[in-house]
Amino acid sequence: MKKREKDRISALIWLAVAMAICIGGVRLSLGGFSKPGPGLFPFLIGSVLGLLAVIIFFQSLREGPGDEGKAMWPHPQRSLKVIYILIALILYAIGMDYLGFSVSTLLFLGFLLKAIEPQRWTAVLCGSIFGTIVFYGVFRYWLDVPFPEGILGF
Amino acid sequence: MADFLYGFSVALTFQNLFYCLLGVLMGTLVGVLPGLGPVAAMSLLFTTTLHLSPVSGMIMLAGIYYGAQYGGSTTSILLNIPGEASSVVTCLDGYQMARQGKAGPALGISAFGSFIGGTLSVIGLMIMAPPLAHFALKFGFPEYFALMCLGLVIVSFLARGSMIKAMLMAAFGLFLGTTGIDLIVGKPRFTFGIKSLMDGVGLIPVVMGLFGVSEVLLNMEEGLSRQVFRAKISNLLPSRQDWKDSIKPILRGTVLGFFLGILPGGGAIVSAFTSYAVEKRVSKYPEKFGTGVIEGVAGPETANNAGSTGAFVPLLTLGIPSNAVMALLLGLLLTHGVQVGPLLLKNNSDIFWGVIVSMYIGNVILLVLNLPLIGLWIKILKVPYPILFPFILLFCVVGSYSLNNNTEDVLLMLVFGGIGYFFKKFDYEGAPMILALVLSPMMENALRQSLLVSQGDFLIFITRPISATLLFVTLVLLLYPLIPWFRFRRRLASLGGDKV
Repeated sequence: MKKREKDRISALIWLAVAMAICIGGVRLSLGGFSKPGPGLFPFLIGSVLGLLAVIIFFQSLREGPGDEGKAMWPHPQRSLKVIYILIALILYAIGMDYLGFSVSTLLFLGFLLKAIEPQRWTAVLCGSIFGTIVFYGVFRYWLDVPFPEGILGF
Repeated sequence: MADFLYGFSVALTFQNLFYCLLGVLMGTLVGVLPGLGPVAAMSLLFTTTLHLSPVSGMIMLAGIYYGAQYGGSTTSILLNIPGEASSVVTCLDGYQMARQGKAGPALGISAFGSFIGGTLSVIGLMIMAPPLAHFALKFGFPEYFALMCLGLVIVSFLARGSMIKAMLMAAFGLFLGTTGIDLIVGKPRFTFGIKSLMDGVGLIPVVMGLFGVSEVLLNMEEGLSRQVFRAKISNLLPSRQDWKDSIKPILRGTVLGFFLGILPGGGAIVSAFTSYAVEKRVSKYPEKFGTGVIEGVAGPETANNAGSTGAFVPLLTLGIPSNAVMALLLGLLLTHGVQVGPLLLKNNSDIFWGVIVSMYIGNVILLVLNLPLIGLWIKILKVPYPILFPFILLFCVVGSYSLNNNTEDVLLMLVFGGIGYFFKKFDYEGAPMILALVLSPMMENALRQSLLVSQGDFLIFITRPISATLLFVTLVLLLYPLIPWFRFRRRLASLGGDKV
């Protein structure tokens, strides 16, 4: 994707964000300048954000075709890994409350070590078991973090 | 001088010394990991400092910071992988030196340079901070507002990419900072009913997402290929000739770094780049730069350390962080409910002097520790990334969980991990956003209080001399990029090309 295309797309997204912020600001009530309401500052920021997005958009129009630029996703196969990792992270964050810290961490580490760039089983088992124990020990006992215990009780 | 000795008495207690050592060690450890720089290291380890007293916590967090900085230099020299932007220049000559079998002196001089630069700029900080804090007592709300405007514009001005994009990121950061309960009327804003957003978007989850998770995602996507030099690293001590070549770059780097570090957004990055440019300019053999000359390592490595110390000046005197690193330190002070600002020096002198002296001690520890420990760091470097990354992610998750012991913060962090990934893809820089996120509540409060005082009259920002000056400089910086454009048009017009 070319640089100007990237800029154009991102500028439009920013413009939408800016408008949402401004509308949110108005809903919170702007107040007057002499008695600023809670929505005034967000509204001002939203306006500046929108203005900057418009500038970026027009700058990209003025730019020539320019360099080809890097492809956004040159290796779709590798980019798929990013999606897997993100899904694993989200499931881990949600699952921790139900399964408890130890079980979910064990599964999380095991999955990342085996499924993304497969390691030998010994490495996977050692890594996930030791990792879980060390993290549990440090955060639970040294830093006093109360981890969720989950349905299994540990 | 008495204050300085007092600082020693604070920093040299067994407990604080221990946390300084621990911070430096852990910081170096994380800084050595590829793709993780000081900001990431500090946010990953932030929770480990929370249960300490404010002084010990600050000392440890500062230790993590310069430890990570040094760890970054190690990877730059040995692997050609900069931990973060400020070590990019170290790669240029440091890596070449390593390839020529001179990794030892390169690592050695960067440790000594950092030590000298760090030490001298601590002295600079001691001289400059008290008068500046005294001056800042004159600041009212309008002055603070103007100062923060100037700060954000300077940050965008110094950004590496497009200035407009950096400003946009700053604006977005300001918006993120408005989430949560409104300070004056107590109304929730942009919380979407999410409980953990009531206190606003947390700094740590955002930083972890942006600098930790998204970095891992990008590294996994690109597939890091690394080659560590198997060559034995012997004689870390630079030779007499090395010293002769390096001493001037070190001294220049110190002065340059310290003063550039005071600027918002300056800090380590700009200092390192500028020092490299200066050394190349004054060198008798500029053409050799990039092929492994020791000046190209000594100057920038010193400057980035001096710059980090300089960055403490605005934080400790004005209570305004000048970059993401300082924002995290401020975050720690705020969680402990410490009043920051010009009065910090007076009311919390143990924090002020204790931290300053501990930085000095930390630099000594770094020097003593890292020379013998380099072998260990190299071993860690040899652990393949596919084995490392699950643990980095685990650190991010557990770290953000432990902030408030709930999984909402983890999800927030993951959202910013995803957003950060797209920022990189679309060439947006995260640092201005982080800074703005921290400044936002202060800036809004300053604006609203000023307007309340002046009853809605914006002239209050112009009729007061200090704020007027600050805003004028802001305006000049904003218009500066337009100057070439005006000249261009005028020249075209004079050529008769008035159709532009």
